[in-house]
Formats: sequence, structure tokens, C-alpha cells
Amino acid sequence: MIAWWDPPAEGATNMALDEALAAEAARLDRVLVRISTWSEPTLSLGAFQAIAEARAHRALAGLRIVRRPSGGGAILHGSDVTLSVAVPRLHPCGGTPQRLYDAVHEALVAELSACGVEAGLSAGGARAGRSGIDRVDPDSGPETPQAPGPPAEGPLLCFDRRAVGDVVMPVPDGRFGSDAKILGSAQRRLRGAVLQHGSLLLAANRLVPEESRHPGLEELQRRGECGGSWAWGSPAGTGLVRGWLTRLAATLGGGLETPAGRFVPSPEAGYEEGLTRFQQDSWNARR
Amino acid sequence: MLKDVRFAKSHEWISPVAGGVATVGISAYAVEALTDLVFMQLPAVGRKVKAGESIGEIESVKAVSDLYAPVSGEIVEVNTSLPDQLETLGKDPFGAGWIVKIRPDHPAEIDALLDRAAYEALIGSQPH
Repeated sequence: MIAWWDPPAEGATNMALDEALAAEAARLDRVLVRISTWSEPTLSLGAFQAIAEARAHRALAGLRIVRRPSGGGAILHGSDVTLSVAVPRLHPCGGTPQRLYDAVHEALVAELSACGVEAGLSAGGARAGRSGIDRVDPDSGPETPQAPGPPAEGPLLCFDRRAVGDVVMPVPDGRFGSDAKILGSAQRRLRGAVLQHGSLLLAANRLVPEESRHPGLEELQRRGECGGSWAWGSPAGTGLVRGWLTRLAATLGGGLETPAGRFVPSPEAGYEEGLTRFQQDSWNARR
Repeated sequence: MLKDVRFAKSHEWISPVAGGVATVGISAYAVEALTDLVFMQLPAVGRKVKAGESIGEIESVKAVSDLYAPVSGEIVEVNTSLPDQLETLGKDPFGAGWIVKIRPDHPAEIDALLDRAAYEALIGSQPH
């Protein structure tokens, strides 16, 4: 497994690099990983989410929006770290979606446990929104588009959803119920490779109104053996991701290589074409 | 009909040509692997496609998968009721769960695809 620690980038660049990562994983027949953050607050929509639903909420007003190639719910990036994993289709974890999902999530739970942090895998089922962002603002003006998505599509935000295998932690004050989701993932299954996006909420996102803010690691567990802040760039936050990668490499096989510098796709990976597409409304507002 | 269909390695099936048109769907294995389908996007009638080109997308709770054209040709009919009845894909993937009908440019391309035995061998070797 090869993992690159990439510098912060804006949404279209991150998405184009991730698609190129999948193309390279298929070409090289290797598991490839990119750890990334976002250079500006961005809402990433799942592949089929309605953009009008996101634009209907004041809490999300003015945010840059990019549509991911992967499915799942919207992520409000800013206090999370994104783990993009690309696995060749014939890899043992390239079969059913749950295999790769579990491999990535179980590796995080194990690393958190080693840090003295209690976390587990969700049994799924609950899909009711808890942040309130899945509901259209009751006092929104007439110019605000109404959310068109049918209720069956579930809450807008990924962290309001629960799928089997999501990483959850207990919430001391019970405000979000008995637990809070700190890692969710979604996939794009291409002919040659599976691309999985995972978002680890290191800290609550201060762009979100406090009453509907999801707690992150920082708020849920302040006293792990790793100590200190969990925010990105802190020793604990960086150490957690490093340990997570090491465990994931052991699960997926082939050891861990972390080359210096950023991920640079080969010309045949289609990065430039992807970048153009992710910058255009024809993709980002396609639904 | 099942004994006569051919399969692409990407799990689409295609029927023999009848009246110049072949029917395309996805295998029960592919539907089962995806689990909990929530959304489907289909191509437009009249679209010309090449073998291996993406002709649609299916979303499940955790994943989005592309549908690929098993052969080159023109899309002549689309199962427009399918996105509202996604359960049909799992209940009857080789019947009511058909996805598109295509007029192949080269019907012989169908013969080059996997027969049922070869496809079953393929999925038997794939990771679960």
C-alpha cells in the first residue's frame, strides 16, 4: 500500500486527484491511499444528492460546493481529514462494498483503542437527521428553493446518517443520542478499481451553528493516552492517522510505503479531464 | 432465456438479438453485492454507445457503480419504471429488471462475451 500525505487543496482538485488515484490503482494493481484536507470550507455532495437541498439551508449558505464521484451523504469539510482509498477490483477487498468499508473502519477503531479511546462500529438503521440541517429552514424566504429530495433519500449530511459499520463513539451528554458518528465512508465502484472516500471528524466544525454541530474526536474524547488536541496538525491527530494507516496496510497487505511529496498521477490517469469536470456546473449541479 | 444470455466481466448481461435488438441488465450477483439500492440513472433513448462505455449509474447505501454497455450500438428503449421500482432488479434481474434495449452495431460482439458457465466461474473466483 502506498500512501501520500497531500497538502490542502480545493474541492475540484481533491476530487480529480482521487479519481486519478483510482485509475492509478487499477493500472498499477496496487492499493493507493491519499490523505487530504481542504484549503477552504467546502460542502461535498454525494454523487446523486440534489444540490437544491443543500442550497436551501442557511447554515450552508455561501459555501463552495463540489460533487463527489462517490455516494453517501454530504460532508461539510473544514475540521475533518479525508482518507481516499483506491483498491483494484480483484483485490480481496474489491468485492462487496462492505469488505473495504469494514477494513478501513476496523483499522481506525483498533488505533483509537490503542490510544485509550472507546469507539465501535454502528449496527446501522437510524437514518433520522439530528443536526437539523436535513430540514428546510422554516423561516426561509420565498426565493429559497425547497428541498426536492424524497424522504427515502435520508438526511442531507453524512454525519446525520447511520450505515452498518460507521465508526461511532459514546456521547457523554447524550445530546446526539447514545453515540455520535466520527467516521463515515462511501464508494465509487469503477471497472478497474474501487474508490472509497472516508471522512474522519477530528473536531466539531465551527462553520455549523452550535446547536446543530456534530461533535468530533476533540469534543468526545479529550483524555486519550495519545493526549492533547486531536485537531489536524496536532501530534495526536497526525499520530492517529499514521497509526490508522499502518493498521490498514497490515489488513490490506503489501506493507506501507509513504513517499515524500504529494501524489502526482501519470498523464494517462485522466487528472486534467477530471479537474475540468469537477469545476463545472454540469457536474456539480447535475441533480 | 437465461441459458442463452451472455455476460460482461463488469456484470451486465445481454440477451440474444431478436428483431435487431438485444436486452441488457445486470446480474443477480451484482445486485446482491451492491445491497440496498437507493437511486438509478439511465441513459437517453437514441444515444450511441461504445462497448465498455458507461451508460448509467446505480447508487446503494454505500456505493455508486457504473453500468457499462456490453456491446456497441444504439440505445432504443429504456426501462423507465425501474428507478421507481429498484426492488425489481433484485427480484427479477433477468426479466422485469431489464435496464435498456440496444441495437448492436456488430451482433457478433455478443458472442465474444462470457457464456453462463464462464461467468459463473468468474464470479466464483471473485472476492466476496
